[in-house]
Amino acid sequence: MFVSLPEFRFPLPVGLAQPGAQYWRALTTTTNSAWYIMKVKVAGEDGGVDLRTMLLWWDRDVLETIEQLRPLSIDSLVCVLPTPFEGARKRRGQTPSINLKEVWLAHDPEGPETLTPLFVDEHGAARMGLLAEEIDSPPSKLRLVGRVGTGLGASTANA
Amino acid sequence: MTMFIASRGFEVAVPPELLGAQHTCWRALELWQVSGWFIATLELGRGDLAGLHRLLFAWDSDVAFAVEGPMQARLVDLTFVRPPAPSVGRWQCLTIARLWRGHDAAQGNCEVLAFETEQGDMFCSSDAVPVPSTVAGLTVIAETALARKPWGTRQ
Repeated sequence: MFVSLPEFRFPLPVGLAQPGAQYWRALTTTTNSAWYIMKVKVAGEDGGVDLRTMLLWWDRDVLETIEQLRPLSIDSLVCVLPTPFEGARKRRGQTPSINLKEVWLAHDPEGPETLTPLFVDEHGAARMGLLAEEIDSPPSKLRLVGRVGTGLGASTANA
Repeated sequence: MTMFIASRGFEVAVPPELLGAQHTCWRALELWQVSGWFIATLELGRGDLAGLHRLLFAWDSDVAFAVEGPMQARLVDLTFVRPPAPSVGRWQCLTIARLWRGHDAAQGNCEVLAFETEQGDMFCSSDAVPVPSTVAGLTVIAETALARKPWGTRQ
């Protein structure tokens, strides 16, 4: 998860801040698992279009955010795969990122009665789990939740 | 001026004995005023927090503060996350090798932080603009493990 550090809180004046929101210049993270950057267009209160960019820790948050916001479009969805600390020590020196194209709700291979998010990356590979690992035999897809370049998925498919 | 926005609805309850009472866990953040920001792996050498930590920094000045200020952190790796530009259309993660400081004569000699990528390109500010020719006196204030690796052995 993202962990806020008290010394990096930014005291935005009340009139400028969103109600109930806290503003931070820096945060730390708890683990080296995959997390997500999603940029969406949503309908604004004034009838216009608002751009929102979110950092999401869990794959389920990607799915839930799309379903809750019902974006007009998903402009980009990136999976960030931080280098494991051992890798950092070995000087690999990079933070890999993967462009994702589709978000599906799928049957969990560990227990088909459980539903889990499944991603398809820009090369067509299926990815899932804490490390968004590429999987050779993806579980059956139940429902398309979102596709980059478009809005909320509406179809139901079995693959 | 990018910042991370945390809203109560995304707070995750974690026992204070695990993280300390001053810290709060979040499962989602929103970016405010989206421009470039940083993912850093820092090594702290002392105290309860000794070891490796990964941080997200919205401001370049805080990256410098982490290595020069009271934290006295060692920079292990640093990635600049650049939002999609209309011409590029996708997020870019630039691997940084060195952090430099100079002064810009055209801006009242104000301090400028510059970042050198693994390819040797230099940029400054969270908009990743090329370092102006009026910036002088550049000195290295931190380098990542990548830069410390001998030339010819980078992957």
